[in-house]
Amino acid sequence: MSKFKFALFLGCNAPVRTLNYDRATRVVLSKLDVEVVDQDEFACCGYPLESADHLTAITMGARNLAVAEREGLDILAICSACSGSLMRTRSMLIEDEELRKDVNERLAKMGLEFTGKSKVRHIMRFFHEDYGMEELKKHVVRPLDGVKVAVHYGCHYLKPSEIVGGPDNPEMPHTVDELVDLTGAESVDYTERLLCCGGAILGYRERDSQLLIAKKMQSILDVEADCMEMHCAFCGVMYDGNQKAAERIADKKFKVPVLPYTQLLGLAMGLDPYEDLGFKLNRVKAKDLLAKLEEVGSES
Amino acid sequence: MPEDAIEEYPLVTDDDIDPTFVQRVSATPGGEHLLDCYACGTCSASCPVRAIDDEFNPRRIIRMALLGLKDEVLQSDFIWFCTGCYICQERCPQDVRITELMMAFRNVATEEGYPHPTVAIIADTVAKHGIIMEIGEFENEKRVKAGLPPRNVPEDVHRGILESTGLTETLKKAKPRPTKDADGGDA
Repeated sequence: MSKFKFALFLGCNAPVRTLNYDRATRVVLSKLDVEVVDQDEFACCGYPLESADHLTAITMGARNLAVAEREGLDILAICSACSGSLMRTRSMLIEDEELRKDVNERLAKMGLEFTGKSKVRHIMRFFHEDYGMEELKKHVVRPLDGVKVAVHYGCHYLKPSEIVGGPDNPEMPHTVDELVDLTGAESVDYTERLLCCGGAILGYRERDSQLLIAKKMQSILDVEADCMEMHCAFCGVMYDGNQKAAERIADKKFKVPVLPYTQLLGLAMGLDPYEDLGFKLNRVKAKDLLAKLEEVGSES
Repeated sequence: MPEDAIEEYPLVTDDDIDPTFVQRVSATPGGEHLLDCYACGTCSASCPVRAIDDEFNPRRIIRMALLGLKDEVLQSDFIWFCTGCYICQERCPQDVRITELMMAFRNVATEEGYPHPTVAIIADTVAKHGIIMEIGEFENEKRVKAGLPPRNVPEDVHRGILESTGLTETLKKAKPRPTKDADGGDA
């Protein structure tokens, strides 16, 4: 029996717009003997409606948490907006008895109840803190020597720090760099490494969201990284899916491959980029990077 | 002050001010710490949107709110430009909890009949499909082809929640907004 079992929380974007992330994550977790269960009833985490109505967003989040509780599982999220929102909702409901009562009256009509029993884990925090660096390293059979990676922490993986930050200082985080270095690749520093993807204003101020992507991509080009790493479905939509739009606004080609961490880790675990890790689904193709790995592989 | 500056920033008069606005925002979840702001500007100096867009300035929005400029704040487009990155919230020396405060402004704007048009689109999609997009046969075929299980969110799974909190009804009563995004936005 697997030591770890979770309810997999895909959120809204991963199942439609970042299939590569969905695919690589499932294959890698399976190889690591981490069991994940899909829940049809999981729906939007609530974050997109926080702007409209606090209580609506909290209740939506609580419903998801209550479904996980009913199944007796903790949640594993692959989108930082989802993990952040669900963690904030959970913490508010645990702290505020009046709010919990109100929300539970609404959930009761759906035959559900929130008690706080199920926890929420972001997949990177799971790798770093629960699965453990030592254990994870044992699975690296094909180190990604010579690959330079620009990590993208993303905002809701780090902040609000008192709820989601774990061991990271939001101004100087280190966990993702360590997870990337563990694959044999090198995490390279760059000016805009903590810049926001702008996903939350894609529907409100599209131009700004594209300018933010362009700024990030230019900063990655400046340090000549081979790819960008991400671990959030919405960040993936922005940097991979919308990179072309950002190129138009900047009047410049970026062509920076955007790899979910599980694709990087999967490569290091010796998995096949196309058969196993969904590289065919990447919008910005990672051919140069894969060719570089082949070269390194044939030399050794 | 040069004359063109006076034109750009017209004087605030009593008619522009609603003295109850501060209380209204402070009583909204996320707005509790509005009065703690001493206008140091750490938020604006840290803000990634401020760096690329002159129309967004968190310190200015907070000062406007503290002055009681209710209509100007609630009917604006700029309260919808915050990306929710939390940098200002982490750095604010007064713990104003600015990211949450921006959400509170949007919540009050929605209640008062001035939601951004994108809000109604998101709410409608979430009520219908449970998530912010539709997964139909086409999307599920793509998933299966990629070696993924189909994703079938039960229809209307969140509709009852949006109805029970009154959000569905509130959005039906939205008033025409005085200004529109320059770039329209992409829902």
